[in-house]
Amino acid sequence: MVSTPEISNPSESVELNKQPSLLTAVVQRLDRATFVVGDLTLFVFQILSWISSRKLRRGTFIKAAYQIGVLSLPVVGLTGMFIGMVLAVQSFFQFSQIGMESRMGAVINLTLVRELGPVLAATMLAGRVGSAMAAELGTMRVTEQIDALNSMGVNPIHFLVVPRVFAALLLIPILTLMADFMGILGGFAYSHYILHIDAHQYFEFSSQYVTGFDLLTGIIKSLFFGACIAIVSCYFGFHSNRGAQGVGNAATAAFVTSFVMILAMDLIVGISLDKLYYYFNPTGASLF
Amino acid sequence: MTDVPNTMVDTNSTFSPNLVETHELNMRFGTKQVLRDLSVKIRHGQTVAIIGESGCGKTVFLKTLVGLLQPTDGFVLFDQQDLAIQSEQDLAALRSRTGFVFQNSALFDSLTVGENILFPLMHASSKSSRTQLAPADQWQLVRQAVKEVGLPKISLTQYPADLSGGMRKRVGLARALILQPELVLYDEPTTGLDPIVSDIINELIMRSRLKHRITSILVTHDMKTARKVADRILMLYPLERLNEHESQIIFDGPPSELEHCTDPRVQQFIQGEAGNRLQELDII
Repeated sequence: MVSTPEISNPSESVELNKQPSLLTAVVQRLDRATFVVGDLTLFVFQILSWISSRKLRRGTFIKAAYQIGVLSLPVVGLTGMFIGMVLAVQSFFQFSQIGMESRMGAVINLTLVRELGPVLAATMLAGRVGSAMAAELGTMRVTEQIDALNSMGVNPIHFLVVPRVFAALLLIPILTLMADFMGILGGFAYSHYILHIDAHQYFEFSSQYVTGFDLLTGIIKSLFFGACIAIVSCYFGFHSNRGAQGVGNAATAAFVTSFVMILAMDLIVGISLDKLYYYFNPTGASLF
Repeated sequence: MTDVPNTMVDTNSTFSPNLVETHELNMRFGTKQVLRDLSVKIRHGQTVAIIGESGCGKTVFLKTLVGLLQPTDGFVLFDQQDLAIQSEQDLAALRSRTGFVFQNSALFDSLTVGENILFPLMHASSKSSRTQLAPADQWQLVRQAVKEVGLPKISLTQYPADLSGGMRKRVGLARALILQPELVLYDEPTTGLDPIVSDIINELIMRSRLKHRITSILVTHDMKTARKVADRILMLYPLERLNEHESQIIFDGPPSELEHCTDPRVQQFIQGEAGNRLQELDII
């Protein structure tokens, strides 16, 4: 019988307890990050392969759509409304200094539909929906429910991930429109009823500055955000470590990674759409 | 519940092809090797208990048998088909010929007991006669399965969280058997259950095997279960306690030979004695 080796030399013990150097820690982090990026890419390919090869499971899609869409309506609506009101409060002082407070609607609504509506709605959804997805799938991983699916010949990516990605892709743009609408309403209500800005002028200037392309920009961004939230959250849930801490870490990683990716994609998609717009329309005139 | 003799399946028949075979199976997680060169053949109708101390790789071995884990080296044949070279769909079809009873039952929390048992009938990839049935007939099978494992009818509408450990195990068993699999894998089926409920589970395993002529592989620490249910016992030993060229299987034979095995490691395990481990762990 072979027994486990014992550490008898105290210097060896000290060696084992020594923390890795900063360089080693950085290299390990980079190594881990590279692995996650590669693994996440493979995960996306698997999702695409199941989307193209099999029909969507209606039952699980409807359940995911209810969780993502219906249950998020109040929080997204409230977020949108408060953003609109805060924008009104913050811009009123600046605009009133130069006597242009009647044009506040243009700035509030433009900011809402292009940037803040999609980004803040996506951030709220990453917190509410993304973390819940990661925690749910993480718990399923830890309690062997994902293994149980596999053992029954049911592919867990097709069964669990694809419906969530579809639901997020379909519903997050709709929720973004809802956030935009509530934001416009909140901004107008505060400007008109509290700051006494004329309603006609408020919307007249808005319609001059906010174009269909601005709204489309926000919706296209939200499609990217929706896919990002669902894929990243499902990935971290799917690869959750064991134990309560593992599930907690998966939920945290899902939110933090989704949030960083939302901001990065906001920049990249925003610049790309503007470039495309001016490429096809060099004069910069409104197309619709 | 009366005891059912476990000698009705002729496991010595040379004409019976192997249902499951592993060839020099190796499994490594990072730097830790868990399985080394495991070659095992399991014939149709056999009930094999895999015993061994915690961490010796029993559950890992069980999961590699249905492709839930991919071996680092070596291969698994299920009904002469290599799991490693199967397409995703073929593997899913092969898996639906097996049932798996998980250690903690792995029931879907969001589904009722009835829906959990119905799940394989609705979603499995195989097109067996049972998956083709009308929903009403499938529910009839679910009610029959619930009756077979001795659960009350009312439990059909309950959620797994409302059930005791023994009831959850029985639901897991009903779910594993609903597609009439050829092979059922049990991961510690009696762990955490009181002796009476454990014996009920043992009886259910034996009855299902005799009724449906199922091949069974169970991982267990419970020697009573192993002796009662199995007609062959395999004992695995942790690699960190073995020399480089020693086999990881330290016992392979019928339960009756277990008592006569001269290997002190086998005797230490079946008698449940800590022996020299206390000194090794430096417990004062």
